[in-house]
Amino acid sequence: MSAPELDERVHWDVIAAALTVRLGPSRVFKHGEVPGLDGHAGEVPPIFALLAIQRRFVAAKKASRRAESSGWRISVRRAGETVDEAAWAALRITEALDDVRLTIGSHISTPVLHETTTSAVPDTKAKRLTGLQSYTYAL
Amino acid sequence: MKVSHSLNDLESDLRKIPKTLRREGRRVVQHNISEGNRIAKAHASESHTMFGDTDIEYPPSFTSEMTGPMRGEYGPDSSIGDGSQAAGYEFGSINSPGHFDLARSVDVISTEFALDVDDLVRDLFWPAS
Repeated sequence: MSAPELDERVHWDVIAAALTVRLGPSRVFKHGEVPGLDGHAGEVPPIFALLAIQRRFVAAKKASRRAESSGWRISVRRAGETVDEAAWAALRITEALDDVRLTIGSHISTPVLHETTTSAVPDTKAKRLTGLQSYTYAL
Repeated sequence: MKVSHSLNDLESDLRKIPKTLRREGRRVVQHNISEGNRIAKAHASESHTMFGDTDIEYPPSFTSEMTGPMRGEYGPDSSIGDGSQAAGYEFGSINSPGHFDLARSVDVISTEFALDVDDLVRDLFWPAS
């Protein structure tokens, strides 16, 4: 392996912890694991965030033919009952991630860079307004 | 001893460059949008048709076209197949994470495009070096 820390679960845990600090406890979930949705017990939280991490292409160096860093994309889907709640979540997610250096394993990432924010639109299944924020960083 | 210099080569280069740039610039843009489209479409067919035939109409909606002399765009065409559902597939929903088919192709093509433009500018002064 040439690039550092390739286990995306480690990345997920670190970023979920950073988001939880801003959003409050029990508000960050994986897709398909929200209480009250997909047959899970409990009630759907009024405000929550769905976090997914994906590996991202990084060009290999010409000299060594190896990528010596690993690139990552964070996608956070925020959900709130009202426009205000979704906007509140958006701001909290921004505070947690924008321009922050993450410590993952023994490595410190590049500052997290904002990529896209989509506006919050009604989601019939969860009866929430949801919008996506995506960020990228490299280790 | 007599030493003489001239800028003839540079002068003739500068005469040729406007013509070459129009032709080669177009070629570079065309090449990169079709490559970008190919990568995005490959991601889309991987995530949509590999495990069944749901959303089978989505990958064919990926097209690329020139929108100006040195300008082009690619991605799902909303008038073809499931192209109109692109926002849902690209960014995901509360049910599933986004696939980022386009974003992942941009990761690759932004690097390649920059290198191609680099080569293009170099070739204007030192052709085929």
